[in-house]
Amino acid sequence: MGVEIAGIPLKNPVMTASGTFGYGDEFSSFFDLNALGAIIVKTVTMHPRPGNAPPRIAETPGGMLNSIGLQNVGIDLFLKQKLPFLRTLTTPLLVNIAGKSVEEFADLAKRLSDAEGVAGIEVNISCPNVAGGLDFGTDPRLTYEVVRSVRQATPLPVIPKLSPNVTDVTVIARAAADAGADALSLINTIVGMVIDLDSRRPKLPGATGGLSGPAIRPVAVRMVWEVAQVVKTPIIGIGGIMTGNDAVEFLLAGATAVQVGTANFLDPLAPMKVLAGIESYLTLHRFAAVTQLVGAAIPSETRSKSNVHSPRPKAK
Amino acid sequence: MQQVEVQSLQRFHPDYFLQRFTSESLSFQPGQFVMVKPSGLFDPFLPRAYSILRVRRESNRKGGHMVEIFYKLMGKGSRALSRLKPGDRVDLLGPLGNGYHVPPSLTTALLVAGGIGVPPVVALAEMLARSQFTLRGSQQGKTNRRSSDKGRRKVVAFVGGKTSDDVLCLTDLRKARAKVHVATEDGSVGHRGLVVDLLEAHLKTQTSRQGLIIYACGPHAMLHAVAQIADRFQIPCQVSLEASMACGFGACMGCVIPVKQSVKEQLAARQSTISYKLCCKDGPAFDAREIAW
Repeated sequence: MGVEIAGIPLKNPVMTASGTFGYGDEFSSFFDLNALGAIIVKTVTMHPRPGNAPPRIAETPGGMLNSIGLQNVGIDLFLKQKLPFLRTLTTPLLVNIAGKSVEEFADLAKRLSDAEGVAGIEVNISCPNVAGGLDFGTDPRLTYEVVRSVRQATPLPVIPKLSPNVTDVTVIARAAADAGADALSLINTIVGMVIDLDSRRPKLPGATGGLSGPAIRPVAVRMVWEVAQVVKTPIIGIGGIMTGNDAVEFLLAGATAVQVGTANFLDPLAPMKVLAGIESYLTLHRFAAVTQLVGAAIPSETRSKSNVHSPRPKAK
Repeated sequence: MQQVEVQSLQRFHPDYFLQRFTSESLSFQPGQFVMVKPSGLFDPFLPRAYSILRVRRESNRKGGHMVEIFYKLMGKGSRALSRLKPGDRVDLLGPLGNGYHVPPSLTTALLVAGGIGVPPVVALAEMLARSQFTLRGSQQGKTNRRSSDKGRRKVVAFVGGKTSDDVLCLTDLRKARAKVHVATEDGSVGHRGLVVDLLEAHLKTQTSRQGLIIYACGPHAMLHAVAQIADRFQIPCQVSLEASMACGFGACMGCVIPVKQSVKEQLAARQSTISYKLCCKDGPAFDAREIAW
């Protein structure tokens, strides 16, 4: 089940998506966190953020809108209070960061590189719920600048998390790859809105929120598929993965690893169930390694242009 | 999370439901909750939080237990649950959160419930009744001896609702040996007016406030009024709050409750004076003085 992403060896391709797994400790009573491929913690910012006013959650068909607003303790307290527990795990830790400027992204990356126990940095250029959160991820020039400055600030693997709220995700993906990204996470949430029929106002105080859950999965699979054909950078697929079969779809579309997000809210054991589901798919279809699935759905003529070299399953 | 079966469903006019699930053994503090959702469905997508009414041993199954929740038909989540038949499967996670705190110094519990806020206070009344039963049955144990020194804890319940249909679980409260006072907004039963009026009138007649604690659950406006009365009479008050949440165990950070911030926190935050706590993990029972009403 082992894969390698951004130079980090993972025992399996299942990670937890930022913002759905707290700082890990909330889940440690439910299962052994060392069974995960990697842990990605809630976005860390330079200063503590109280987050947005409630209500922050609105249910949607097959998903939910959230507008948390990057509530977090800030980098100082993260390093002091949260990292020591995460460091005790053998599972690689990826820390998701969000800055208000190109410089702040670089500063955060520097602080994390000096800390022990951080395997890589996921760069959040796609949060739809804070002012300016989407700017870096929707303009290829800004994406390039942020990723390059983080790249220069740290020796750690750099993994930008891309936004689906763009006309052409491949343009942003290329910019991130050109700037030296080691892997790409996609997708973050899709901007959405729910209106309350009684109050006749949007349900969330900020009007919009980020849509997640199985409702967005086809969009995410399509974007992974598109990006896999234009860059050589490995992809981490995210978007409404509830089961092992859902994860397999992302792998077939060209992702090397996956992140389980919203499913964690419905069932804290979801990542373990997704992992078991991938394993049974491999057994059922007689694949020796999970890497054989990567990009297998992409037609070979298109595939040859990218780094996807997975063989087709052998005839039985 | 465990998958459990619906054991029974009982409807109370017009749209209140008592639902029982078979479960593994489960011990809970009154005020704690479970996240519940019909298994295998994505509509409703998210589980819903329900206060635990009680957990009882099932008579016909070895070691089996039944978890009871009591809810009002509100929207998609409760409607989906109310349509389930005995034997249908449900995802159940819990008990979660922090329930009401019962210090050894408690002598009289003043329970205040508004409408469908009644389950956690019934759970508390029943727990207090049970602990007194244990103390009479057994002569051993530190807690028992301490309680017996204090004598019997009194429970006074104030239950309010819009109409007589909305004042619920009165029999359960009386069975738990609570003295029950009722208020309805339309006067169809008990005092005509608000339940907080009854609480206030009762407190005015009390000569001593020693050992009194108010435990409340109900609409936000009612809880705010209860908190103000508690403040005026200088009585400790715990309120059980609710907020829309996705997970119930601190991961989604959706269910925040605005709380008052200490000066130290204000300095540390630098940018803002807003402070939030998570309803699911820090609550749902809070000290009323903590809340930024």
